[in-house]
Amino acid sequence: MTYAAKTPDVVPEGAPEKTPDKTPDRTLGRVLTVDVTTGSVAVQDLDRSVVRQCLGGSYLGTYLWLEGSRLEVDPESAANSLIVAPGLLTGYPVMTGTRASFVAKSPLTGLLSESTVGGFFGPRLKATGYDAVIIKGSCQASSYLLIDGDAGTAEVRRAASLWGEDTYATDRVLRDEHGRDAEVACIGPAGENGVHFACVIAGGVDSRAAGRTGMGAVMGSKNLKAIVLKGGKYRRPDGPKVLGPMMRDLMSRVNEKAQAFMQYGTAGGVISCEASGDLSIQNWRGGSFEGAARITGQAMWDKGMVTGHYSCWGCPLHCGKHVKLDIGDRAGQRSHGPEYETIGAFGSMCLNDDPSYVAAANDLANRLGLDTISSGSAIAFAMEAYERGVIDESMSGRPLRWGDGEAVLYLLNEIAYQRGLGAILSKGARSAAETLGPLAKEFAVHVKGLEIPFHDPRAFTSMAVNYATAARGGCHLEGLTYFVETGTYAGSNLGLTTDYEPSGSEGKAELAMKMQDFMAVFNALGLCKFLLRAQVTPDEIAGWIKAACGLDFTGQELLDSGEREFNLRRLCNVALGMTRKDDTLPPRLLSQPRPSGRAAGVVPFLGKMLDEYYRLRGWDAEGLPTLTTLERLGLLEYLEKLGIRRRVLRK
Amino acid sequence: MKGTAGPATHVAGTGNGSAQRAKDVQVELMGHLIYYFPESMRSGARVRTTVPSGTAVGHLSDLLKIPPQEIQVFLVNGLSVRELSTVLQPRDQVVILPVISGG
Repeated sequence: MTYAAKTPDVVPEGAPEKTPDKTPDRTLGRVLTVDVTTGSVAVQDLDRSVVRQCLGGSYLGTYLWLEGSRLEVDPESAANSLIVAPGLLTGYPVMTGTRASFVAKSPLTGLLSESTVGGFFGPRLKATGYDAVIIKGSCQASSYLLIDGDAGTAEVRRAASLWGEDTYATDRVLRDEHGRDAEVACIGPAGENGVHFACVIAGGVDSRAAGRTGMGAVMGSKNLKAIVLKGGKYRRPDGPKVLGPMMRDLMSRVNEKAQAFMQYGTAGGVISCEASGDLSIQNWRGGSFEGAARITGQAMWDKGMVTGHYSCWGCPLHCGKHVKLDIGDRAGQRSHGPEYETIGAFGSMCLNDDPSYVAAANDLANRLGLDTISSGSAIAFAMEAYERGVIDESMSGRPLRWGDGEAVLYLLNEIAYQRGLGAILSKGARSAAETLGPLAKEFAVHVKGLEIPFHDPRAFTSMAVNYATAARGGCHLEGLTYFVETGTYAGSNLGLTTDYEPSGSEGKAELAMKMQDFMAVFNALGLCKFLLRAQVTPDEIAGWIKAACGLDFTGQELLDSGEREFNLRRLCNVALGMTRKDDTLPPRLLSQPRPSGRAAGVVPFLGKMLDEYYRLRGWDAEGLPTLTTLERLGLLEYLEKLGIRRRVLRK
Repeated sequence: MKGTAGPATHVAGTGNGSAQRAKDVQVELMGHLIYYFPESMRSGARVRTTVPSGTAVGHLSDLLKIPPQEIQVFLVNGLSVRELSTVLQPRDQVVILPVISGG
């Protein structure tokens, strides 16, 4: 059965607003709701004050999710709505304005979460005419959602023949059917099978992923194989022509600051992160890894594996790389080149220094639809469990020795298809450690259930307070504070004046707070955080918003919005039982220093930094935002909505 | 010299005599900074070279032909030096760490 519903005509570009003023608001202000159980479709106008308050992307998605759902829902049930929202600037001719956010309750962490994806999907979603799509319910059989911006329709179509296919094949089939300008975000077998860290892949072999916190499993639980977008019209600013000169100025700074990044992508950072003691090694046990020089992006070029660059929509940074695979069944085929985190995951974390296996593992994880960070963490965790005798070969099905690339490939399949040990690992490190016993908890490296990405909080201690407090758990992207500690981004852009010692705790709480607020703004606007290399400031971004869509903000108002979003997500975490006890790091990172290398001998003084951080945030000693803070941020209404009024008032 | 620590190689030094060498400053470059040097000078993930004593820390990027914005920190005898006018003394040991970011 195919069911379709017609949505109202898309508002023409530049159509006058109902109440025109000197700075006409040119945002769309439209939300599409699709109930995939019945196929019913509705379009609603967003209150303009909501756009102004939430901007778009992750913040708008969080707001809309909370409007329609209860935090207690089972993440893998039909009641867990999935919101897909391009950022406010996504789809405008703003450099890196490409990202879309997936928002839902995470099966991996049990928290309300978000995950963003670059590529062409977000701009195409904006082109179809919506600031957000709310996907409710659960398809009766395997299906995909087709949104056609030209026809003004949204329909749920059967996808029985696609179920079981990998993400690259799914992308190819759906593009063949819907035309070359169609954009596809889909899940692989991992999402279908309910792996808690299954991701959503957009762009096929030009892969971009909404990688973290299991949004692929949420789609899988809805029997939703893919979201396909076609048609519509890209957004163009219709005001004075000031955006072009702003972008040219930005381009000149990108050219000056990001040459090496453009050449090697994130993968080029591996060798330098190892030198700084930042790269995670052997499930966070190691201090140095000579093999980093063999798996870093530069080495992949030298070896002739890299075949070229690719970009997200309209982005001059072209940090994406293609590689030619040279081992296994797919030797000779072109695939997405591994990124920094993926090289950490399948390389240094597993002591694997063979770039051919790292590339093959990346290809396999993408096809299966597995988040590479959580997958690599799970595999390194399993290798350590095997080494320590927590598991044996009867359980794992084969030896799991450090450095064995074949073991990595084997476990990726076991996880995606939930076989044997793979079924245990597929629920994430926290759950696997619960299953495997107390010793395993010593080396399960996660915060709030989200496996920590491969920037070491013992090398750059601001990351300790960032990981401990990030709303979705062990996430580097909510703070990216090491960018400041290492000089990639100047803290003075945010009014920070301290010179940071990598290992100290001085000023780190303030650094974490300010960067978290700023990065929340990036997620709401749909911008890529690699723009930090060009030293962009909040005021500068406010200028782009004005030029692109006519909304007036100061840089400080943007940061205030970021702070409000961060606190709103904190309230959600509080409502789900998170307190100071959860704002911590795994034992390995709190009490065991790296044994060698640049960061040897350091453990972060988390308690001290956390005290200072709570004070600066206006939270109490247990990490609850105070009434004064909530009033200042305009979030008091959420105390009632989230059922935490009495807990906060008692303080 | 690939694969060995090897003797110090002059890229920027002013002389090769042993008397001169005693006054040199040992410089070790790490991370992606090694790719600014020919492969023959790289040893694993390190490049070791020398510069004449009397060089100011802030002059090292010029002398070694490394873009200054790619340098995170200069460690002189194990301590980070932020004062770029600091003059290097004979037998000082300098480590230059790159700006990092990853992804």
